[in-house]
Amino acid sequence: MKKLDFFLSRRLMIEQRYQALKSNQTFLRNVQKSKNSGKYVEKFVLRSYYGICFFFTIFSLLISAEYLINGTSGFRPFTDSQIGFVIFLYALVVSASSSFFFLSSLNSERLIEPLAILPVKISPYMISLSWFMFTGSATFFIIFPPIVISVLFFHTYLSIFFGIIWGGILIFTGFSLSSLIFIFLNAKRKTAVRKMRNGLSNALKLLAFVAVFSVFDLSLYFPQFVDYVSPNLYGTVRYFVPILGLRYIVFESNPTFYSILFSSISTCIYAVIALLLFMFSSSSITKLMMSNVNSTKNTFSGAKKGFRVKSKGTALVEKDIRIVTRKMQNLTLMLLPLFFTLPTVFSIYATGTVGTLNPSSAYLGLLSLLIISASFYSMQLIISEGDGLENLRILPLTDWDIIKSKLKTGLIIFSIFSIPIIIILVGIIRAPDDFLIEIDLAIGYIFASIISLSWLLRKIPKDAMTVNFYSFNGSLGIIFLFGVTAISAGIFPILAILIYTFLSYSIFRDPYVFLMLIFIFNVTALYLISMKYEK
Amino acid sequence: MSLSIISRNLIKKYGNSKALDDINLEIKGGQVFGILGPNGSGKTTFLKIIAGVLEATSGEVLVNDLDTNKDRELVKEIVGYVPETPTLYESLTPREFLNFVASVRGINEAKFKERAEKFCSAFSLTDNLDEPIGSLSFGTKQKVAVIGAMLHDPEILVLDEAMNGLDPKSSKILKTLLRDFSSRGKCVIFSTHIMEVAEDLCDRLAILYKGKIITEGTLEELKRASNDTNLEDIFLGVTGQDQIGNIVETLKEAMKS
Repeated sequence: MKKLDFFLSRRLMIEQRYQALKSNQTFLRNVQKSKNSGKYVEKFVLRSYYGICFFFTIFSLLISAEYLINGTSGFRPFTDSQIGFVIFLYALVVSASSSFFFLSSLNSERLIEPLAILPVKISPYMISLSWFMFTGSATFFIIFPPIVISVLFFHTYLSIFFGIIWGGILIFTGFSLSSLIFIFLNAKRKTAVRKMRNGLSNALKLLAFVAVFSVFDLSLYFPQFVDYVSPNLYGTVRYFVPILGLRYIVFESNPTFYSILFSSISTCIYAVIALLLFMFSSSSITKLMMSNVNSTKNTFSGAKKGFRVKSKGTALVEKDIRIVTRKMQNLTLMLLPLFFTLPTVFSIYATGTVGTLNPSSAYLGLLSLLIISASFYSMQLIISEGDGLENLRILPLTDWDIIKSKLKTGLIIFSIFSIPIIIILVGIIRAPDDFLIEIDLAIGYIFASIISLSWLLRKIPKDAMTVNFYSFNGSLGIIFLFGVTAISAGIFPILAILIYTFLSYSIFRDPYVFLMLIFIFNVTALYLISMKYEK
Repeated sequence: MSLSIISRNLIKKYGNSKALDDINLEIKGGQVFGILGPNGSGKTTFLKIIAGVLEATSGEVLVNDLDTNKDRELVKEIVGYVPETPTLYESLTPREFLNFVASVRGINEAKFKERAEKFCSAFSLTDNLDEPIGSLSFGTKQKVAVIGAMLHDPEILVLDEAMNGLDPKSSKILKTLLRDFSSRGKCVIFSTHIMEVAEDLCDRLAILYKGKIITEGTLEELKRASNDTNLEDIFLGVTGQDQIGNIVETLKEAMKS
């Protein structure tokens, strides 16, 4: 590695971060105000790096603490829990997903182009080094807390050595896997193959994403699976099973000569494989990005022929669905609410008395799905406008037109996701089959979405012609958004609970009264808010 | 009611800095009006306010008697606007984008079909109609943006450096269309850095510098006032950028050393 390679990689990393921040008006104003705007941007990037490292550390500490404390019997060694599996798998998933977004952003923002015209030989590791400088190295902070806890509490000093190496193996493998998927999806092919790819690529991307997150969700919320498989890894085999064997390799509290020997052999083998894979994928992704600089011609196999006019509402919804489904980043983000909420929903239903769960508990169990989906979809559907926001500003559209279209699109996606869940809940877990639950959820979703969409639209500066995650003050904005949505979605159930409790002392004891009350509150609120906007 | 754009005491601020400072201007229908100015002079901001895309900080802009701050949706219905950079939905195809624009604007389907086909054919866009906009060249994206702005046959056409990236044929067609627009009593206002285009096309011109209009009139009026014979010299003279000879000499010396 030459000094020039570091310089170019660093430049690329800063540019990539800048692209993410550039539509934040506060950030731009501060850049303009600062005497040395270049230095300000670099300092800002560094601060956001510290922020991400801190977030990962706190998140990892919380997960580690959960596995550390063992009821009334004090602390339990990590060898006795699946923390190794959860935390290292999480590092792999975070690394893979953030790498994919990093590569997509380099590609879509054409950040390689300015470097490609320089009369220098571009290192095959320029892109991977650039990834490691921010995203990759920050991911290591997921690994550190359990290692530190294990060393402090259980004196497993070898955890430092094996933990960091295995962290590296999985984080670099995450990058390699993302690069290979990216290469597969973006490589130039013959027309016939390309047409087939266009049809399959989104389904494939989605499937891969679902699979990775499902494994993680299952490991977090259904630990019986890991607890069953992991102790049954017999003898030396346990040291060679990737990820599942890490509780013995990294967190062994009573190491023997043989355990250290086998751990070392296993670590060496996987480190070599990961290194070779990383070298191959790094050079391949650099080659692909450099060759893609001037060729992006493509077609959509599903694009409709002919010029057609539809109603304003339909046109907006169609446009929203297209910009979401045709961009991997948008599509995958639409799935996130499911992964956050499904385990909670399932665990509420699974731990409840099967078949006897009353409708009000069933509704409250699904409320988390409603709140997260309403806030997340609202934000994601607005963010997906990106630079296209200027088109909405140019056309004769009101905020209410935009809210209605985003609402319909979100509702379509919400229905596609929630209908199979309801079928599973009703059909497999035998949750109470009550149509009123679905109606209440749908109306609650609409009301909460209107509130969060209008809040988000108000947050976008009137002068902004583009919108992204940072337009709403980044993470802080999201926290507020979740708060706003939670209040709008939760206020009526709370009211309903109060009234239902009062009524249950007198004549009514039917839990369906609770659902009816929510229905009445939601419909009234929805009517009032629609009237306000229609004016 | 005759078409017109009236700007009165218009001020636009971004934070503490003034992008436009007390702009007073009247543009009548049947005119092609050119806005010239160096980079950062406020041209784009001014055009965006006229198109109802941006709000004025103070003062007012009336487009056909509609206040651009108060009646933004109505202003947008009668205005066609081509932004400086064609920021279209990259994941849509030009056909889908034009369908979207026509649907939102509520254009009659038969008229839309006829106009879209003719425009696409004239601008040689037919072969690119089903490719993602993200994969098109800058010039082709610009053509999509221009067609999108003209589809509803607007009363007022606002173009921000719309000739950028267009090939000579498309550029010629656009100039002819703009002339035709103004001959039908409609109003065309556009900004450009290409002085030949401004000289060739504009009935009236205004030169913006640091957010202020420093001169305004017909080309002949500007020539008389400045004693220069061509627009480029007038422009450089009034914006204080006429020391080009010295700059070039300095650069030549720097290249030799």
